[in-house]
Amino acid sequence: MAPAHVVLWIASGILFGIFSASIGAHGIAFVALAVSLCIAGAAKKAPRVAVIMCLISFACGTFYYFLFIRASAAREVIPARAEPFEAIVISEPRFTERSQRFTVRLASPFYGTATVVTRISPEFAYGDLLHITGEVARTEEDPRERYTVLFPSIELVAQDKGNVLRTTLLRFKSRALHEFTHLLPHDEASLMSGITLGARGDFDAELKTQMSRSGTTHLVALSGYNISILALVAFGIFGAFLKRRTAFICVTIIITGFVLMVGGEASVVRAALMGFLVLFAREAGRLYDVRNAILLTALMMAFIDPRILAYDVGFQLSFGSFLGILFLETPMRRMLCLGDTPGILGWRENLATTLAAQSAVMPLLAFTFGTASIASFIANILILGIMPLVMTVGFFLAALGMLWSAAGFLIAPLAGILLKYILGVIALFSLFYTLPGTFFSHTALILCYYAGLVFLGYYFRDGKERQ
Amino acid sequence: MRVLYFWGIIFAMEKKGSKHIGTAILAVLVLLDLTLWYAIFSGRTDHATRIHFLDVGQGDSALFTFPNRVQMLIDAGPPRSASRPLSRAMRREDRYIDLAILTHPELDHMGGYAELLERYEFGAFLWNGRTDANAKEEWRELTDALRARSIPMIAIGAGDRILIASSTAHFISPDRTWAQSGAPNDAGLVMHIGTPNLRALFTADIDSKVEADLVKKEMFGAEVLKIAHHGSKYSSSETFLRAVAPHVAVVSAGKGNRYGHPTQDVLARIAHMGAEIFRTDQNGTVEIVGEGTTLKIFVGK
Repeated sequence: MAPAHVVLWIASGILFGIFSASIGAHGIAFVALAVSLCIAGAAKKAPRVAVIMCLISFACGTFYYFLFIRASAAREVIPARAEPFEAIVISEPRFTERSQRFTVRLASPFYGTATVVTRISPEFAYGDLLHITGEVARTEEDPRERYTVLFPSIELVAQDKGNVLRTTLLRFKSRALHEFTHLLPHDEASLMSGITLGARGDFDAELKTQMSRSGTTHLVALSGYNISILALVAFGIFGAFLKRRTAFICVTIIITGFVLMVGGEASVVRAALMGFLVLFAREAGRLYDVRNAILLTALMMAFIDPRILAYDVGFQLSFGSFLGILFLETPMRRMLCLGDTPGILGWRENLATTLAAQSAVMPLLAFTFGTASIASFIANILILGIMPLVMTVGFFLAALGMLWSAAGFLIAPLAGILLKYILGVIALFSLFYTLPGTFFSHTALILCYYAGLVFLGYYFRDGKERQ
Repeated sequence: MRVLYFWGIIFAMEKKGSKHIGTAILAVLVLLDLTLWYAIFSGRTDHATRIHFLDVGQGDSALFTFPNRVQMLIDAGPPRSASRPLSRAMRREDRYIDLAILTHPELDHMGGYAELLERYEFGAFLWNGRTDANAKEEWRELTDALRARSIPMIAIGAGDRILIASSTAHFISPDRTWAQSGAPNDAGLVMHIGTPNLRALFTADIDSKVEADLVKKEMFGAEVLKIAHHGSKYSSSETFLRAVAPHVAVVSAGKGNRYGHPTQDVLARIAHMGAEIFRTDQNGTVEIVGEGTTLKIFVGK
């Protein structure tokens, strides 16, 4: 068996094990896996060694999940009822209309993290040391947010107590955001902040609804797309006057900094790791296998925190859509007879990519956001073509604005028009028919849906022309 | 114009793909130039008075634009609420507001200033001089931010006037007594603005006691009245409404707010007077334009 296949069997075994353990179905899943693998083994579809390896890795994954949960729970020291405590803010606050929510790390003598929900003002920031009086309540739904403190009384003790590097990067980010708000009208500025830096603090409720209805929320969630554009630009700059290896190190540093700056969302970490693996494989001169790269990335992220597999929607969405693009893009092209040319502004490519990604995560989107829009396909085709341009303009706007505000003023109208166009598309397509989220509430329906997708992917697979 | 610009860029991009980079750069420069001239000429040149009652939810915020385009913001609504409607009310590239007024330091009038200070420049900050805000932290942050930006803070009260070309903003409350009232709402700044196009009365959150006092003291008719205290039943007494005799009454309140503002009593009283009622909770941002001697009203912007 080739090393690539060994990696495939082991990695999928571990990931499946972790996932089953986190939803509490590891027993049934193990039996189901064992039965199906034995059948596959008997039918000579899978080597016997692979079957054994996969089952052992499944058990390892399950074990690791429980070990992780127990170990992190054992170290926790949580304040008793209404006992005041000090804590440091370790995330950027997220704002809703009436509240702000952030994660804090409890200071000694306590240990652990908690989510604080408090009034919208005063606004807190990453690195604030707070004196908090309030009840630390235990929640069961999400194992990553095991403790919450609701509307406590908070006193600001000190600022800038967080990681120095991250504080500096965040300061840089807020300066860039300031340029956007200064140079662009409100909605355009929010959109640009989301597209380039993944900042969603200023999004108005109305705009949020419109984006979710038109299926364009992913534009303001940082993804592999943003990272790849950043990496390309950085490579272009460094590659021009540095050796390849030095350029590789520089780009890695920049991408790491960017990930830290934007808050380490799952999709960004995934994209950065993927990009890093690709670069690394190229450096090492190895053949690069996309499927294994994804699996290894997932494995790495699950190793750091196994709870993301079942509870981080961002992670699921980004992996789901990536798998969709990987396995369904070519079948979609074949099914719609799109041919191999990109089309004006790459519309054929965008259509196939969007269809592939969206159809892979449709049930998840419907379940999480309540709506999954049919019109979103068209909206995305109309928008994705100009995204690289928007991002490049955005980065230039921030950089030039910081250096010399008059230069920012010159670019602002260009950015304004592009953003206005995107906002127009979002507003228009949010008016159209939306598929109600309840459609995917039945497990059987979801299974049927995915069975259909697998069939579609198989029927229109590579090497088979449509009749 | 914008569509033209957009297609111009696409044209430029397409050209870049081929070897006409020079043409592409030229096209971009010409378009940039056109945009700048467009921005210069698209400015409003009329001599209208505009009032935008901004849709900020449960709170007050209104942008008053004088005929000579001096802009005055009267309150800023609750935290993080005013930026979006304000950016829609102002010209795209405009980031300067001449006067910021805070009728009284309560969160539903003051909260939005923190965010606006990040986005806009202000000439001066005028308020009623009270420092006993119900939100101490926010008040401290606001004053710190004002100081850091060297924006002058000016305490004003009854008798003060601001002359802006041929218009006057006349502060008629609080006098010495009301300024020291135990209820912060009594000390709210009441302002009568007269421009060549219209007269408007802004009444903060005052209740009928203060109104009765004002009616006794002076006469102040106005075509546009901002209904006091989001339409609370303890304000906008019949005597007061009769003294003001507005054509248009605007209530600034949040959709489904827990105070039940505006109350049926007040709405009935205004309707009885024969004035047109506009509500930010139903109409969204309400724009009133006084041109010559006519009033035009636009809603839902």
